[in-house]
Amino acid sequence: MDSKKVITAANHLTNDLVVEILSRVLFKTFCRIKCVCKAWLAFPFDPHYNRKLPKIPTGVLCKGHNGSSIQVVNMSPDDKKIDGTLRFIPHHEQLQVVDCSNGLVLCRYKSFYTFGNTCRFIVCNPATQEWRALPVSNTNNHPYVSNYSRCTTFLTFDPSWSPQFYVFNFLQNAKGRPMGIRKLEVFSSELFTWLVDDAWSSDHRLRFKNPHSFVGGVLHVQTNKTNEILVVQGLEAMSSAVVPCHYIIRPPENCLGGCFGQSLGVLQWACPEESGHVIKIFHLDAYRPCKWSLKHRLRIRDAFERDDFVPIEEYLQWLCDFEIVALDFERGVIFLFEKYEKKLLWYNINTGKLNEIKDDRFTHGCEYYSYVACYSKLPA
Amino acid sequence: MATREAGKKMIMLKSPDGMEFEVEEAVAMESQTIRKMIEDDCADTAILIPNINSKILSRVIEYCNKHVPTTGATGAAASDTVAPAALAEDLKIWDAEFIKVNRATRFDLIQAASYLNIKGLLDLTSQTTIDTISDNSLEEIRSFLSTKNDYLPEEEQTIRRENQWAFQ
Repeated sequence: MDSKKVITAANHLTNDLVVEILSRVLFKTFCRIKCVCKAWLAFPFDPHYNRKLPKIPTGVLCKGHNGSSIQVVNMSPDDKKIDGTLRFIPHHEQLQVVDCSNGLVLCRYKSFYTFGNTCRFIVCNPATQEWRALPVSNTNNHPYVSNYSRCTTFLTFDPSWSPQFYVFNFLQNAKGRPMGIRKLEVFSSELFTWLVDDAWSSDHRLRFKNPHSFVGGVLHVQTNKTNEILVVQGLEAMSSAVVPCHYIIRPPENCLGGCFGQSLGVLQWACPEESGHVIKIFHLDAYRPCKWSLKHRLRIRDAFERDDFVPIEEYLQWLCDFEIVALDFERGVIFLFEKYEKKLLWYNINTGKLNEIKDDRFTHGCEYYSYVACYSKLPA
Repeated sequence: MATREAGKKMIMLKSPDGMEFEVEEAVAMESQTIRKMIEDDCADTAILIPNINSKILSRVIEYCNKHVPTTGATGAAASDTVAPAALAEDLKIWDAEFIKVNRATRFDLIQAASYLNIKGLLDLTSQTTIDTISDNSLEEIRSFLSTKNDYLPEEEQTIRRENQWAFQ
C-alpha cells in the first residue's frame, strides 16, 4: 500500500525539490524556466527559496596592469563564475582591455597586430561570451603609434537607457602642440559607424584611468584640469548625423579622489572626507548651472575599527589609507583599496560592514569596475 | 571492501514496505539525517525510513556503499593504493551508470536524497535532471515534470515578453 503511494508520487516533484534543481542553473536559464507556471514564477519572492535560487552575478571587475585580461570576482560565492579571460574571442591573446561598462568590455588589438596606425576595437560580453568587431575608422589612430597625439577611449552601455552601446574615442595632442582634446569619434552600435567631430579645441586632458560614468545617455569624465568634469550628451541625435555636444561642469567642493556612481539615473560622486573618517556621496541635481548636494555621509572609520588615519594632501589627493575604486549604490556596495595592507575591500552601505575580497591578483594601480552580469543580446 | 571486518558497527534500515537492510554505520552515516539520528542516540536496533520504498532504498544504499570509502575514514586503505584522481574518475563513471534510470526512479532518488540529506546523491540527481530539461521548451519541461500550465494564453504571453531576453 505504502509502496504504491510512493511510486505514484514520483510523477512530479514538490516545490522544494524543483527549487533544489533550479538552484543549479544559470540566472538566464532560470529566468526562462520560471515561466513554466505561476508557482514557479513566485519562487524568487519566497525568502526561503530566494536564498537558493540563482541571482544575477555581481561583483568587481579588475583590469590588470598590462590590460591583457580582466578578472571578475563574485560578491556571493554561490554565483556562477564569469570567465574573464576572454578566451571565447579568436586571437584573444592579441587583445588589450580598454574599458568596461555595465557588463560589457571594450578591447583593442595591440598595435603590433594591427596594420599601420589603425586601431581595431572589439566589444564583448563575458557573461554571454558574445563579441562584435567594430568597423575600422581611418582616423582611429592607435594610441601608442603616434608621438604627437594620444587616444583615450571609453565604452558606454546603460541597458536601462538603451540596448545600444557607444564608444567614445578622444584624440588629444600630446607633445609639441597645445595640449588638449582635438577630436572626438563616437561609435554607435545602432548606426554601426563612427561619427567624427573634429571641431574640438579644449584644453582639458583625459587619461584612460580617469573616473568616468555613463548615466541616462550622458557621459561624464573627470579631466586632469582641477578635476573638472567633461559632460558629453545628445547621442539620440546621432541618427540624424548630428554629433553629441559637450561642456564642462565643476566637481563638488573640496573633493579630492573618488569615483562616480549612479542611483536611479542620477550621477553620484563618492569621495573621502579630509579626515578619511567619512565617505561623502554627492548627487548631481542640475547640470547647467551645475548643482551638487551632499546626500550621504558614511562613517567608514567605524567599519575599519581603528582611527589612525593620517590624511595628507598630496597633488590633489587626500592621502588617506584607502582609495575608493568603484561604487555600486543600487546594490549598496563601495569597493575600496586599502593601501597599507594592499587589500581590496567592499563596504556594505546598508550594514556598515567591511569585507575583504581575497584575491591576490588584485593589486594597487589596477582599474576596478563594479560588475553586474548582462544577459541581453549584443546589438547586431 | 568485499570481506567485512569484524567489530564494525552495523545499522538496520527498514523501508515502509517491510524490507530490512543491514549496513555499516559509516555507510548509513553518508546520510546526514541518519547520522543525526545515530549521534542523538535515536537509533536502537533499526531505523524506519518513511516514504522510501525498498527498491529505492536499496539503490540509495548502493550509492552510499560506493561513495563511503572516499569520504569516510574507512577509505584510508582504498585510497592508499589508488591515486585520488583515478578514484574520482572511476566514481564519475560509476555515477553516470548509476543515474541511467527512468524518470520515476530518478524523481524517487531526488526525493530520497533530499529526505536523507545525502549531498552527493542530491547533486547527482538534480544536476542530471537539470541537464535533461535546461534546453527544452517550456511545454517539454511541463510534460517532463508533470506540471500544469496554469496561465491564460494572454497571461503567458505577457510573462514571456517580460522575460524575453532569457528566451533569446
